[in-house]
Amino acid sequence: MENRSLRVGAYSLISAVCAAVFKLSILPSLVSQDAGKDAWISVTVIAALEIITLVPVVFVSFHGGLQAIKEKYGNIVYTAIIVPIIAVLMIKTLVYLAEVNSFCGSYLFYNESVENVGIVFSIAAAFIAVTGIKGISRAATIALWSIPLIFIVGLAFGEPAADFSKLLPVGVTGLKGFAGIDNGLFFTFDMAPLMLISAGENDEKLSQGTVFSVTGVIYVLIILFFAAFTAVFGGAYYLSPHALSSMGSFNVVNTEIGAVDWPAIVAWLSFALIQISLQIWAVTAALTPLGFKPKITAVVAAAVAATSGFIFKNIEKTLIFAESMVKYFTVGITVVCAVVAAILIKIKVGTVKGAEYAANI
Amino acid sequence: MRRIYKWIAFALAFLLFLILGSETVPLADRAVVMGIGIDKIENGYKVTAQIIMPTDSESKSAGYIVLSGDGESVSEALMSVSIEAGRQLSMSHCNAVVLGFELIQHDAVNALDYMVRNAYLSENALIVAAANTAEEVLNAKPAFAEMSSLYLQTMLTKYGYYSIRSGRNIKDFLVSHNTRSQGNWLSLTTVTETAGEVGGEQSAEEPEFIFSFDDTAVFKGGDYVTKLDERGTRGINYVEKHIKEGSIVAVCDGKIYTYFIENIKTQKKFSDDYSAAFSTRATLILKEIQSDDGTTSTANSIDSERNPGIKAAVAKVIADDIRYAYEESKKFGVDIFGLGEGFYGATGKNFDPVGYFDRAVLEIEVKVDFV
Amino acid sequence: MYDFPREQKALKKAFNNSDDIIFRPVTSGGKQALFIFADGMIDVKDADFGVVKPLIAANGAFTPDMEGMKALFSTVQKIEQHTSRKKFVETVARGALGLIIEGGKDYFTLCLHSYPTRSIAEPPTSAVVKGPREGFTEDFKANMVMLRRRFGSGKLVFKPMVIGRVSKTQIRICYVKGIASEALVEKITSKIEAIDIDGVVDSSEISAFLEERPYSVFKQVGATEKPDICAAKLLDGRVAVIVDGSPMVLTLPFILVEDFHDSEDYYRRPIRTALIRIMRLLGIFFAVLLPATFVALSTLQYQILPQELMITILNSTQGIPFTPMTEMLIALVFFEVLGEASVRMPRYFGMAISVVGGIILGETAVSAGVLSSLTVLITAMSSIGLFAIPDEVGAFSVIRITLVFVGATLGLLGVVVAAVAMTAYVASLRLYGVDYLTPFAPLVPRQLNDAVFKRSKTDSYFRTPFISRNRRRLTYGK
Repeated sequence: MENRSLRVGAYSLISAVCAAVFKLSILPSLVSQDAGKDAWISVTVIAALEIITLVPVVFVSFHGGLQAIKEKYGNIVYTAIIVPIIAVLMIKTLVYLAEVNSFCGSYLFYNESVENVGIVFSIAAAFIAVTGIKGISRAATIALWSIPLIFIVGLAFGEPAADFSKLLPVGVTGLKGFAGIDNGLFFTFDMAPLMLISAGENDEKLSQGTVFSVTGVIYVLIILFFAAFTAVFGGAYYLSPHALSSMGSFNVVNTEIGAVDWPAIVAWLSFALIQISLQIWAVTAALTPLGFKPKITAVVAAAVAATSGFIFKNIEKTLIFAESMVKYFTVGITVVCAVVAAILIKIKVGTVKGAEYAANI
Repeated sequence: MRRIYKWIAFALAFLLFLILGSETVPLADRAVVMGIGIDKIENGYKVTAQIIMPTDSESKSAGYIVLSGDGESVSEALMSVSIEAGRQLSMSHCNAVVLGFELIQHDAVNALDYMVRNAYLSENALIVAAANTAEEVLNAKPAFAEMSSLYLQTMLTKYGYYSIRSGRNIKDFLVSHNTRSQGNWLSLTTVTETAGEVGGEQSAEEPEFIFSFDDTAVFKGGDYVTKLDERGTRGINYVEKHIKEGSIVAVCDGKIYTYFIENIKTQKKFSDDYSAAFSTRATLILKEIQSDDGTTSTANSIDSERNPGIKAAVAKVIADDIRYAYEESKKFGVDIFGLGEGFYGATGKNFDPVGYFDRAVLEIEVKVDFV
Repeated sequence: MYDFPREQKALKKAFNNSDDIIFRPVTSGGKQALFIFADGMIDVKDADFGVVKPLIAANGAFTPDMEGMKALFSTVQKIEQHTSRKKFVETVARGALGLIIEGGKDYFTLCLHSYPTRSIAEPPTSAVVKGPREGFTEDFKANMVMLRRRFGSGKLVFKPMVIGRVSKTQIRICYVKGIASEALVEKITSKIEAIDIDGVVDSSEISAFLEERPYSVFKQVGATEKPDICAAKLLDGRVAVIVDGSPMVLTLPFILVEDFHDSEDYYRRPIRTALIRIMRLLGIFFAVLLPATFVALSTLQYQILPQELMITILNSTQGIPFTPMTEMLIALVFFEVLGEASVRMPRYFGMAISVVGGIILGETAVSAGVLSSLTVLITAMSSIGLFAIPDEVGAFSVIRITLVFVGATLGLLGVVVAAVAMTAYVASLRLYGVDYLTPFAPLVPRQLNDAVFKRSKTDSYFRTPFISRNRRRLTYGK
């Protein structure tokens, strides 16, 4: 059966990807709707809550992942936990894929329909998911090299027009500043796939602290990004359907050097594909211990995800769904399952290292 | 899985992958719009597009045509341009947007909003207001360039850091519009025919035009209010932009000193008693001194350093220009320098949105360095 | 004891009455002896003076056993005794001098090999300015000697194997004791032992069996024609497989970054090597992505093009009857065919074909309006860039054509998605316990230095990770 373990460094990278990718697209614009110039405060609150939720998630991963629950408690308990997680993963995959479809179909391309983009992404995501968690993490490692390019291009050609005084006065929006992320809650708490990974391999010196350090740095960068977004767009946040792409243009008119936002677009598309593949892989990893074939599960999950282009034909419909009660469902399930899984593992598994389970499963 | 099934699955997936990219229209089959102009007409809008046309394959330049279309809405007008061109429009390189004088009276923000959200127009596209109609501006062949839209881009980007140029893009305009003060401004361009003075003889069929960018259109709440002349343009630019070129003339002891600008930048500070302090730092290079008798001499910075009054004189010129822009705009109730946002940042919940402008006190301090 | 006349007939039948197998009967003091050899494969002079003459001169005063043979043929380096006729026939077919003696029960073969082989010369695929110019040849013994010379400590081990039911090809598995992993050697040995095939002509046929995904576009077994490079890889903990009849020696395990390193990199200065390696990486990056990106940009993502370039593209594609994708595919296929023709063309025509094909046809195609000049330029740049890594030309050539299809139909999205999917696939390859994209993925920062740049030998303390458990290379200073 497929190996589900990752070295701590790779696990930290995957954790960072989960934390960042879909917070840098439509979320800044969504949060600014309610929180205004205090959007960065909203995201700080969410970051803090996510880090707290990461504690049980990382605990589960470092003790064999959810598969350890199957090992110790049997199929019924395991199924009770993974079914809601799979539901969350599939709903998130549908919505995230719909967001990517809208971005590509209505912003990047002139003549590409959202259905087609969805199918293309699903096929690629299934292919990548089948390569396993190691393939996904290594693809992410390679894709990391595209990030410095964004800064090099920006530094060389950019003419940023950021006015950080737009962030003043701090906290003036009051409760909306703290809870302004309510609209965009769906696009947070993406750490469900991490519970299916078994972190830490035999000879590793790195520990759980590494995961929190790396993810913590990423959250700080996300908060700074939100602050920069407000500094650039101020009250005209609606101008930006995709924050990273807009900010990645560094205020440059397309003349001698062409569009400058393509490194940011390429980087984001790569990581979005990796995130969606990760979610599809997580579905297969959840079902494989119950006897489902991984490749067939991946294909079925991807086929379901591909329907996103048909269900959500534009970003407005996607947002109506994402802003409905389903956002509380996804966040609630992620948090509750993480806590329950951690407690169950603590009771029966104790502190046995995850690598043992990864080797035996 | 048996290998043959794997291969079939892979082949099917790849085929699906490829055939889904339908309706590709290559660049050569598109009408690439380099500049677009929007005018308000009686029953709606008139959109004028300057579309690039390929020429000789050896050539590095391109020809162009200008097409106009009318419609009750901007999208309908764009569609009629597309029909006239016989191709789908591509706004990928549309970096110059001209708003006609009638449009800027009331409807600039709506037109821009549509263009940005629905026509794939980049929010970084440059935007100017026209003292004439946008159609006239785009149809006017510049005396010093091939195409008016390319000329506009060059003037506002390459030369956009001149003291008398104020290049803004759509993002800048809409961000300023979405502030408490809603004070806004755009470069106001005027085209005048050269009457054969520039570039030697010219044929009657091809008149050439001079584009002027000295004036600035001032807006409040998205509606045109007034225009500022060259002095007002300079005043706005000294505060809102990082100026790296231009000239300043100051009189001291009967002599006229001409300085070239190396650098002018302003920092704004706001306090909760509605007083704003602008601190402008200018670095200048002395170029010429004109004496009482009309003789001129080249000069260097020592001449400036030797004369203690000259710094004050230059600083006064800069401060006066800034004050002029502020006061002229204030006459029409336009908070041109965005003091509202600054005071809101300083006062928070105690901000007085109605009375702040009347209560506002503006202090301008200019520090001058000579190179 | 065998029946001598019957044995003669049996041996003739065993060799299928082949014309090149010589049966030379000799009598020594009334005892019949029969020499059997393949014509042209033994040193006839040595055989006559060192073997036949002493046998005849002995006048039958010898015993037809190993001691007797050793006493008779004291000048012969290696004498083998076989109890099985089959083994005897195989050894003679491989170039030994066979001998059966009346009254004996065993067969003897004497090593007097002297068959024509190619002389040691610089291999055409790995020409260097600085460094050794020896290259492996088709004679596996010569190849073994060239490697043995580089390991004076005696730790170099050759493990013999024979595969091919008909060809009986000699294989030698070569590794350095104490550096290469025993498990790795065992795994390779068992894989080769499991090969059940009629015959093997070249090492590439063996490599197909050693690969875990033989239909993958990426090769999974390294190959080199240079003994110095092979020795360097052996010192890194790799295992080499020498195949008789092939000058390409296989090395395992293989990681992709190996092909980005040239043989001359070992002998250049670190800074120069680093610069060239970066240029190779860039070269291959552009070679693979440039055609697809150009097609994607001119078909779908025009907004990324700089204004001047867009005008140039518009002007140059004016009047071209094909879509950008078709144009690019025509140009790519044309260059591939030209490349193949140049390799196979007789030397005398090769230059003319290159000039005619590359310059004149390209120029004419542009003037005739069949292709645009930009397309021809990009194809030429891409094709040249491919040869920055000659060993991966095949794989990257296939990938770039695939990406052109993808870029034309799905634009930059397709190129990005395909690139990520391909990266994930390549990153997931794990062969003989080593990940294919080491040290990029998994990221091994310490080795990144040596992968992209070049560390001086004075700083090379550790071997490539995951290949050898004996990580320490130098103990200089630390």
